[in-house]
Amino acid sequence: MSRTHPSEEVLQQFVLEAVTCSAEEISHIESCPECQSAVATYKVLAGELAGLAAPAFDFDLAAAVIGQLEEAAAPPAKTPKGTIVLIAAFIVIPLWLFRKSAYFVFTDMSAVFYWLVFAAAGIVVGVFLLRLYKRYQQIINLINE
Amino acid sequence: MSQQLKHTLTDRQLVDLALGGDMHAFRCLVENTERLVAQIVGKLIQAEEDRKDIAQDVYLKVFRNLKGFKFQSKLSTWVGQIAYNACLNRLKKQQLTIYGPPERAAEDETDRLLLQKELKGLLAAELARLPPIYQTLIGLYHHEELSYLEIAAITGLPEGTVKSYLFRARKQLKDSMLSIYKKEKL
Repeated sequence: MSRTHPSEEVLQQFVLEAVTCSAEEISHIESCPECQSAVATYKVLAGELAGLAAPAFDFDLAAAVIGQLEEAAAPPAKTPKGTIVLIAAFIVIPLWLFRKSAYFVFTDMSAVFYWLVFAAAGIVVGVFLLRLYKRYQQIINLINE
Repeated sequence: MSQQLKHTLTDRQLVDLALGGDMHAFRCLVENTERLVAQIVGKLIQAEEDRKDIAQDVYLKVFRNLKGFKFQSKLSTWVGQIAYNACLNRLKKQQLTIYGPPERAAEDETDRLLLQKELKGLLAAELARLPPIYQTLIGLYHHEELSYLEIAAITGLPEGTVKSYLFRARKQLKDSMLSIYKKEKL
């Protein structure tokens, strides 16, 4: 048996992963009362450390995260539907109310009028798409924060 | 697919399902790894509210970056890395370090634990006195039973440093425990 005591590091290794110790070290530890005492302390320590209560979250983490993800994803699906219905209502209701005179209005109008109507519709659609894109960017930024 | 069955899926299957928009799969992914995240966040961050915020941020980041996960490590290791880095960033903002003594907030809890005469209580109190990085490594090795290599991957520390820190932490705990018992005997 070697007379020199192995280092504390070796004693810890002996407790936690004895295979990494050399035969000489193992032989010394097994026959040295002083080292045996230190090893026993480390064994108790390792056992107690493993038995300590593990930290845990006191709330439903998965639900909280999924809630945030759904909250961030939900608005863009609702906004277009409402806006589309609104735009359709603005077009359909006046047409239906003035359906009798509409025929004469549209047949008697000049080409400039048609271009104005198309331009106005184009601006409305453009603004709508721009708002939709900005909202999308906001959500992406929210997720990326 | 039933909720129970999803817990038996492999990491790859869970990730694929979650990427396909299956929120139950993502829930399983969170449930499978939240213990590790709690271990890291619980040891590095003292304030309860901050812990909640960070834990949620971690999984929002996981969801956002899931597509980029290439299975070069275990899913839990990757989630652990995100959690560890999120904690470091938070501590950096608060100008705190993981190498110094724990914050004052931990002292009350330590005093409460010291009142217990049982070994577990005393040990928990002594553990809470160690620098946060030591507490984290002890938790990952002795509680989560991770290898030195896995801990090194999560923390980004060299494997030798992980071993060395763990050795010092255990020695410090052993010495503290022995000195407490000696005092009690006198």
